[in-house]
Amino acid sequence: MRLTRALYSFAVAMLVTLGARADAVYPAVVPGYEIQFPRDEGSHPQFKTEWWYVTGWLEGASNQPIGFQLTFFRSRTGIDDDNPSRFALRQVLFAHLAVSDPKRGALLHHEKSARPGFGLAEAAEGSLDVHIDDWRLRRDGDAYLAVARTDDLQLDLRLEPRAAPLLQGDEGFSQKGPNPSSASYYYSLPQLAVTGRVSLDGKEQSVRGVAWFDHEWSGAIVDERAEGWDWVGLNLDDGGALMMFQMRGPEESELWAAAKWRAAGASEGVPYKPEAVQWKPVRYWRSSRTGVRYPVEWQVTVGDRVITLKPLMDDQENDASGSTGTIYWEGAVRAFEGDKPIGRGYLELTGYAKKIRL
Amino acid sequence: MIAPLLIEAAITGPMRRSPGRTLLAVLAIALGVALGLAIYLINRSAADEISLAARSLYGLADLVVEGGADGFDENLYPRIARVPGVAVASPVVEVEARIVGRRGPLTLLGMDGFKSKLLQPAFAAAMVGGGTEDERSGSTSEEAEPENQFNDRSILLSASAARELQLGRGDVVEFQVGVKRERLRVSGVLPPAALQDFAGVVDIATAQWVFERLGKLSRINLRLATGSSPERVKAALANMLPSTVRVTTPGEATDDALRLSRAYRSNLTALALVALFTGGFFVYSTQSLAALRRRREFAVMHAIGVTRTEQLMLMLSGSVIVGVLGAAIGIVLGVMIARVGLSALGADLGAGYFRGLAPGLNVHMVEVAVFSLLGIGVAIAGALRPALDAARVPTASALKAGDITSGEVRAHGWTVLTLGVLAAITVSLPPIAGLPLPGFVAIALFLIGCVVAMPSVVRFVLRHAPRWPRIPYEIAIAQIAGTARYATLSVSSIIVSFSLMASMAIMVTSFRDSLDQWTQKVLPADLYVRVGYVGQSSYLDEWLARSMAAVPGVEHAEYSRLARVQLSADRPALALIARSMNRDHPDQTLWMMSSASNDIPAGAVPVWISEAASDLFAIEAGEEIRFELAGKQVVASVRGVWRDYEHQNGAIVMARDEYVALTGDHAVNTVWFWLAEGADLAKVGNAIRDLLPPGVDYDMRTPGELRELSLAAFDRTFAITYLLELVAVTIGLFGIAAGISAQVLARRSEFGALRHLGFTRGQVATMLAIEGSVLGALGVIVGLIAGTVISLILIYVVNRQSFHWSMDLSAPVGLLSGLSVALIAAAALIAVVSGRQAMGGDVVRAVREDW
Repeated sequence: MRLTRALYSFAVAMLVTLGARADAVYPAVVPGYEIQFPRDEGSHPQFKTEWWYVTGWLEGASNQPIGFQLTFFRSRTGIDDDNPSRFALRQVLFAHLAVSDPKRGALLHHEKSARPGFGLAEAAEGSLDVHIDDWRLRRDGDAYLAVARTDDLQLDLRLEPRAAPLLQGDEGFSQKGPNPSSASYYYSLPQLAVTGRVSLDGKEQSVRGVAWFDHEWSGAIVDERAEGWDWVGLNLDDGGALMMFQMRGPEESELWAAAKWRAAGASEGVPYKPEAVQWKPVRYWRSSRTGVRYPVEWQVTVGDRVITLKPLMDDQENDASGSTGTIYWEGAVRAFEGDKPIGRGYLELTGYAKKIRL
Repeated sequence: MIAPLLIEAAITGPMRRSPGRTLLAVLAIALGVALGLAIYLINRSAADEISLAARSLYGLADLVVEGGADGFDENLYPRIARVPGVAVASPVVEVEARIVGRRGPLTLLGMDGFKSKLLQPAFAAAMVGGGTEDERSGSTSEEAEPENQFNDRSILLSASAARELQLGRGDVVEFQVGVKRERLRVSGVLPPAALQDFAGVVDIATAQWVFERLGKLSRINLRLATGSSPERVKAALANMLPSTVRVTTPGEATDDALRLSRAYRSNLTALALVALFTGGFFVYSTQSLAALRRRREFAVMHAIGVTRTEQLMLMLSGSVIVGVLGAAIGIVLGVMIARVGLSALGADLGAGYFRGLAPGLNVHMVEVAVFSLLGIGVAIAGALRPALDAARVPTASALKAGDITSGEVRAHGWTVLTLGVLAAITVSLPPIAGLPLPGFVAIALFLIGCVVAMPSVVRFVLRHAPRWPRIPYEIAIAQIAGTARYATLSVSSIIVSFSLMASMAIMVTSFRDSLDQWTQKVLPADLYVRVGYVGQSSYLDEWLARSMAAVPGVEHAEYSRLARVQLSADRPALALIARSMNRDHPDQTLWMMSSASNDIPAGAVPVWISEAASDLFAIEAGEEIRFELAGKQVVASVRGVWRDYEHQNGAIVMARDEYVALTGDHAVNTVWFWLAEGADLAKVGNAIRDLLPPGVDYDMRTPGELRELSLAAFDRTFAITYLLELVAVTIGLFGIAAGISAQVLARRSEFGALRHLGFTRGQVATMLAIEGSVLGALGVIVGLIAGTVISLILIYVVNRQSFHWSMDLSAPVGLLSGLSVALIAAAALIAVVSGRQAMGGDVVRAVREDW
């Protein structure tokens, strides 16, 4: 679950609407909705927030891994519904691009935001095709393309699914708190085989790797009491996939948690209730940039499995305090069972700087 | 090595002996420097402010796409954004929005915050600030009336707009769109640096919707990708843009804003420099007189071994002291005047070019240095010729006793002729970069020519002076004839200042009279109601205008609509006035200057263009022009050129029925009412007022009021020129006073001799009065003639090239004759007063001094 970016898009929407009051009614997220492909890969513009999210591990010729993520967010502003202008700000799109390269030691990241329209930025309905200028995420036959270009970082990747989509929660209804009204529709595409090219600081190389795709849409996601959350999605080396998260209440207490584990070759994943999921910080890292302390190493428990999460590098902090005010940690992690590496994925830690509102 | 004694003798001594003259010389230089610096500083502050404002509008943009009379089709936006090399394309809708209850419009910028934040970071910071706190202050907007669909829309005000409107976050601004009112809530105030103008920022979709600009953009700010060539992008853009849309750099846009007022500002600067010029001439005449008077001092210096170079240095260093003192006082005075002028008259010195511009004043060292050097340079230049002459004096003859006469007058026929021919050539040259510089050069050449010709004129006049057998008169004439060089100097300073003043007075009067006649010509109706102006958001619906015409007491009414038309992408848009026109007799409603003789080509719409439009676009009556109106190409035939003092960028008049047929725009900006016989103006006016929806901003005026308003605006514009003239005349008077008094004081021995011969004091005074008035009259008459010639250059060359306004010559006879008499009287009075002073001492001893 990728709530962090939704915050971004919300802040940006505020930036433009300048506090226009929104009276729009958003559809409720309820159990029993049947997610269909490729229809539900596309945009759901009636819902308040939505995101498409690709993370993964890449390796070039040097066998030194880097982490990457490319995310698109859509936010319905709730205003301008009756404005006939083609610039009407009914929706806002936001994109974030980041690379974790241990040689660099810190994230290299860029962002883009736009109001959809004029073919310059759009989130299509019916099939995955979302773009802002020359950043794009779209379906191409049975595969997906992820493309983004900036001055010092270019991605041009092709993602091939090797397994069926993994519906999170109850058939895609993912509850985010004790109250069922905070929930989202949520599915993942784990174990995507990646091929393509990455250019870092003008040095281009062809890469291969494995990625994780998330798509989530909702009206109201976060419980009032939540201070932040921790999320991880792991592509297991045996071909399995694990997603788990916890919502933290005051004093680092666990407000809600959930997990889904799909064993290699299985068609369905096993859902875990909050009491079966535990997050225990093992090691902290403190950012010299912001002074914020993050638990970058964890011991998590899902059912009877105990897994240790270790970051690719400690400093994977996103400091957007200059533009939108959010500070969080998001980066590539390795998973171990005992000393044995079992998989790789991405970890997201929010709410450690201050309470995040949505 | 020059001994201190020598310095005392040559520099400080003379200064101490005639403190009045030295003070006057210092003052003359100071006034010239002060005015020049003040006008320059005020102009530069305005220019700085405008380019700062432009920078805040365009942000970090490398190129700007703009044009079209009321913007261009928004479909260009995605195409422009996709041009290779364009990194960011930020669309902008700009509206001159009327705020209910305010005269001046607010520049409303509709922007896409996602794009503009990349170009204008200062906006983005304020927007984020404005947004987040609003989340919690939502209760304020609930009080707003529910029927207004835009209540939830908000606006960010510039710091100056918030200050002027006295509004803060949460308050509501009410705009007039058509005759409707639309309310926007103030969600924040931008930092002063973010937006300079009286302006506000709204979301672009809000701007398009609320202000009826759907589908239109005013401009697109472009940021280019690093390493891409602006020229190549420009060329690629030019290929896809319609002819009325252009690509510029933000710098050019600033120039546009400044172009309108540039002629006015350069004219003011020229006038200020005239004050400095007269100051320099003053130094020249006093130094010449001093040099003549001190011939023997210099001869003595030579005799005791001072070289001629040293002597030259000594004389010039006196002027340097005068120049330095004058420049120092002038700089202080100039900064003070600039400060007062900026706060009292505004950055355009009352001309109304830059509304709402409130620049601060900062003075750079370079400017201080340049104007100081200018003052010192003028002082030295004024003293150079007399000093050179004095250094050339033969020692022996100068040591001999005798008066300081210098009766011989060299004729400068060839010089005068050359100057005259040069002036004639320059006056016929076209303006340089839109500025009437050749006209000013011609005026300067002509003036110098006049001064050079003066000795011959004086000699000629004296030779043909009427004979009058009265001894004081005969002696006075003989005296002037005998000291022609003195006489010339005194007269020249009158000529220089008086001719400039007279020419300005004639020009201003001509302009004012023409303006007065013009307002009477263009305002034939009994009552006018105007709602909105060119490019503004407010207007009247036609049915409302028609219901006004049905008010009892109204005999008939006519309607006009103001729009904008782009004739060329390189020039600002023209005003289009759609009004009822009599095709065969346009002179019923317009002041025609020329008319077409050919027939209207088939399919062409008849239009009448203003003189400014004719000058700026080089269009004559009878020609064909093409422009875009409401998305359609219009072919128009220019039926005539009319005189217009209102639209400096030019205006086009078109019959309203044809405008409506072309555009389908039935809106009305001005209604002209002709009242029935005996109708009560006040009653009709109130009946019309009652028809207007409450709160609509309108202007209801009678022709008399409009005329008063326009003349008041004219006088405000020219107030500063009156001030400059006054200074020129003051300096001129200094010249007369210094010249005559120096001459008279030097003639103490002559008065002694005359008294010996039995002259009474009264007779001497009479003689001096005659001398003074003859000199004064000579100066005034020649000054008047020269002034008339200069005024012709001002009216037909300088003004025409600056403002593209023609005017009819008309002289302020009363003012000029009054001033002439006053000047002649002043000259006589100064001569008499100086004479009295000269005769105060022991006259007999003065006679002996010479032996």
